[in-house]
Amino acid sequence: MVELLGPGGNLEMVRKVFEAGADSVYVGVKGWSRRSKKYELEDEEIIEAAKIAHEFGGELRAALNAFPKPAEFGMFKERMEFLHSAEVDAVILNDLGLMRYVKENYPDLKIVASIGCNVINYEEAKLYKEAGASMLVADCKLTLDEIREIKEKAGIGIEILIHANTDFTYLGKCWMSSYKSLRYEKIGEKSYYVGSPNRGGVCFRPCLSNWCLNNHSIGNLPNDMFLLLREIPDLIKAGVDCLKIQGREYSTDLIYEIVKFYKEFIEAVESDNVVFEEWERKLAEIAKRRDAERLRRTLELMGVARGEKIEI
Amino acid sequence: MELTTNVPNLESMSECSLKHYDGIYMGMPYCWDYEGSFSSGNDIEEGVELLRELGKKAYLSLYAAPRNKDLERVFYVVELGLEAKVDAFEVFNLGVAKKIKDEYDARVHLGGLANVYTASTAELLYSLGIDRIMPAYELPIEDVEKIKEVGVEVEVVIHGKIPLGISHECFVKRFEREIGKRCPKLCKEKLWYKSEDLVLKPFGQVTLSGKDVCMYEHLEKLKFVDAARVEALSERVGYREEVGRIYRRRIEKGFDKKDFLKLIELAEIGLCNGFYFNKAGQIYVSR
Repeated sequence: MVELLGPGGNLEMVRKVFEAGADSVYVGVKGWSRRSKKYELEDEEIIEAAKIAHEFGGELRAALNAFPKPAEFGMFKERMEFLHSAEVDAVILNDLGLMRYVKENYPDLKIVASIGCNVINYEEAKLYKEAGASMLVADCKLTLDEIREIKEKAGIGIEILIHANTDFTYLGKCWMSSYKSLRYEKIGEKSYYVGSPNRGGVCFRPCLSNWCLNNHSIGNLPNDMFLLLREIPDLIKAGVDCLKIQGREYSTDLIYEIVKFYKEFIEAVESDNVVFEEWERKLAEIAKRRDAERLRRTLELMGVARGEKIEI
Repeated sequence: MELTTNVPNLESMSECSLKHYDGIYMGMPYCWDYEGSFSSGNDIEEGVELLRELGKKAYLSLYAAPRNKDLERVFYVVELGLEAKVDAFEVFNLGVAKKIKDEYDARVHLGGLANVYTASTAELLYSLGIDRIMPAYELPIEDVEKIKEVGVEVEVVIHGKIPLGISHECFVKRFEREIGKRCPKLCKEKLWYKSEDLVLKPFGQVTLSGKDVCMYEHLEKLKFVDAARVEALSERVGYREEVGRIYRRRIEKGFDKKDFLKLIELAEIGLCNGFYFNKAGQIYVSR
């Protein structure tokens, strides 16, 4: 059966996601992932999350998919030593050089090339595989045929986002947020770049403002949420290895609902017992709640970019 | 310090003087359909010959965002470049870069969209034979310095509009009717995205900073780099030549207030420092 991966924005969410039927959960390592610190886990929580994962017979993936500063390589090594001792099963990385380091020093750890790597062709996929990745998160803009070809020619596992956003730009290759607003802070020896997702801060989502092209109002630049459904049977047939649900920043209740929904849907697909219209009706209800939560978050982030004091 | 710039096609090359530059990146890598772009395989031999006559290095920029279906065409352009004996390929995709090194052993300069952020990746790429790296645009000076310590050649943008994102499509094409021009004439128009305090410039699949990154006042801080780029792909006639003249004088003779004022005048939306000083990219810090 295809692996179902859910988010762990906090310890409660980790447990609920497994209860909802996920096979694995990913969590952010505090200060090192592509989300704000609020949705990342402290060391003790990661140890606990790994225990929960193993209780359920599942896997825990730790995301260190923000690019550290070159001078922070020592800190990265310390983080890896900790994660290995905490018995996480896999790490999600963005950086080729760091992948090679993990491959050489922790050969038992699975490496996943993050969505931020923005792998868009099989030649790139081959390079990430050589560096140590056994799986990559496919960019949301890739077609099923492209995904199939990458898997076949690079011989690498493929993870697909089934709940996420397709942005205006390729993910990992956008600097509009940090061009608009950036707060640089140093806590101890670690640098933080609030406003730069590539460097571990939040994205202020400037694409969702109202834009003009010359004098023509064009609304927001494309940034569309999606919850895949009808595509999933074809993805499974194409040999996709893992279906991923994004959403560390959503409420635990909502994420529980989403994971449970997809778990049941996958089971129905695999037993060849699907009436799409019924599933679409259920999904539309979930999507309404998800849209409301996302809008609240977007307004918070835009406020922070304008200098408002909001905890993000 | 080698002074470089970029020129999209033969027509643009003939419209300006390149005498102030040492190396020229030929091509518009952000769109296959840009008229006459060297990156799409047009006029490469003629471009290289012209640059040879001028005593300049000729680099060929390859398409920046190749999907599976684009790879064959990208490598066809590589072969055209090899036949024309270009001095190096500018490559934005790591997989393409690796294959060029493995199969053609040609010189490869990694462009800024290749997203090299860390010394560990720079080291790995250097060990694969990559000759020059333009680090990710988002890096501050101290991080660029760490990449240079690896031993690889480093090139940075010292002036012009930097990419702030690359898309899978040209978004402005959706607005051909409103703008009153169709592709490929569309991106010759003055186009600006505006929202709140942000002004950006669409150009093919890429979105550029509206402001011009300017390191004229701070050039000494970048003296460790091997090459310095004036980004001029999307600029009007005269910009590339004038900015090149100013930076050539800056490198050889030092700071000149009048030249700096000219740069301010040339920047339609204003100046910024990009990300060199750990600040938002659109901020300008005076020395």
